[in-house]
Amino acid sequence: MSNPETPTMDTNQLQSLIEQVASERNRQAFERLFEHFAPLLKSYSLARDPGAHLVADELVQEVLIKLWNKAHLYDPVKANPNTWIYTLARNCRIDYLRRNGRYGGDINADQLFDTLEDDGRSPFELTQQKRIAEQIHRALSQLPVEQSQVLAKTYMEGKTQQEIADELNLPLGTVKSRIRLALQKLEIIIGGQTQ
Amino acid sequence: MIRHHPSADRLTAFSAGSLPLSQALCIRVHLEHCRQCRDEVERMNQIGALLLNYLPPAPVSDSLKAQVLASIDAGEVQEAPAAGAGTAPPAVNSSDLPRCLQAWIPEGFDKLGWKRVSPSIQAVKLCNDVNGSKVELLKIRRGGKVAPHNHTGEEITLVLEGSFSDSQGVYGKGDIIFRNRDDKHHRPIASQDADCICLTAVEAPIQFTGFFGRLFNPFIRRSHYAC
Repeated sequence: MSNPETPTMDTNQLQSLIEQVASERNRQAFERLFEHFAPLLKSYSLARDPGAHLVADELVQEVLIKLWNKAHLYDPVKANPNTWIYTLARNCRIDYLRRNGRYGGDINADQLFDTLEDDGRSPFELTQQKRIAEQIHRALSQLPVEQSQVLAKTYMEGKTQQEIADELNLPLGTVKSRIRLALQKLEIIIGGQTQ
Repeated sequence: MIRHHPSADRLTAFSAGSLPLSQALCIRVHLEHCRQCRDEVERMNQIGALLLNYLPPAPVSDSLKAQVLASIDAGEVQEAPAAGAGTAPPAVNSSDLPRCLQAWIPEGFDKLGWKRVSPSIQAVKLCNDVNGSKVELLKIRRGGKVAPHNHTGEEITLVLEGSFSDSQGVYGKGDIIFRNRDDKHHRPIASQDADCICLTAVEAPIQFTGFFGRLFNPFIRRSHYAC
C-alpha cells in the first residue's frame, strides 16, 4: 500500500474546522472541509460503483450536508475526525443502497450504527486508545499486499468475503485468514475466536 | 457474562458496512451487550478511515460545491426519513431492550403479535432482507425443544432473554451463535428456569430432520421454525 501524499491538513486542523462549523456555523471552515473531503468521498463511492459519477456526487453531497448538520455531535475525545467522516460516509452508502433496493428495506444505517454511549473512558483508556490508533496507522502501510488488498476490497469496494473470494479465485477460508492476519498485525485483535 | 462473540472477520465486515443488513442487525444487538466487541469495532472503523485517506482524490466539480453550499444556506436540515417501524418514542423504555430493536418492540415483548408455530415455540416476524433472509423473534417455552433441523444457509441466533443449549454449549443473554450447513441436526433446547427469547436471522429455510420432521418440510411457510 502506498503511503498517502502529505495530507493537506492534519487531524488537529480538521478537528478545529469541524468545531468552528459546529459552534459558529462557520461557512468558510465548511468550505475547507468540503475541499478536503469531497474528492476522497467521491473516490470512495466510485470504488464501489466504478463509473457511477452521479451516484458518487449524490454521496458527496449527502455526507457533506450531514457533516454540516451533525457537526455539534462530533466528539473529538471519542473519535478522530477522519474516523467520524468515514462512519458518516459508510452509513450514507448503506442507506443509498437500501433506498435502491440492494439491501433490506426495513433496517436503516442509523439503527445499526448510532453511537452507543459508553461510560466515560479513564485517562488510561484514552492513552491506550491513542496508542492503538497510532499503531494501526503505522502498521497499515506495512501490511503485505495480499492483506491490504483484502481490507481495501472489504472497506472501500464494500464487497462481501464471498465476493472477494470469487473475484480473487481464492477459497473463502483464505480470505478470512488474510483479514485475521491483518487484524493481528494492526494489533486490533490478539489471537481470536472462530465463529 | 458473554461467552460467544462474532469472529473478528465478521466484525470487520460489519465495520466496513458490507454485511447483509439482517446479519448486521444481529451483530449490532450483540454490540449493545458487549463492550469488548464495541471497542474492537471502534478500532476497525479506523481502518476504514485510513483507507479512505489513501484513496486517490477524484475531481469534484465546482457546480457540486455550489449545490452543497446552496443547500446549507437554504437551511436544508432534513434528514432522510427513518425507515422501518414508526419513529414514535417507545412507550416502555426498557433499558433491557436493545436500542436498535425498540422501534419494532415499542411496548415490550408481551405486546407483540406472537404466532404459535409449535407446542413450545412462538414466533414474530420483524423484517425481511433482500438476500432472502428473514429476521424473526422466537420464544421457546421453558424446557421447550426446537425440532432437530439442518441448515441450508446460515442461521444467526442472538439470545435476548433466558438461555438455551444445543449439543455444543449453553447460550445466555447477549451470546451470538452462527450455524450453517455443516451443523447437522441442530436441536436447541430452552433452559428449564425461564422462557428463552431469541433474535434470529435465517438465510434460507432450515430443513427438519428425523421421520416426523421430514413430513413437515413441505409445510414450512409461516415460519422457518414451524414444526
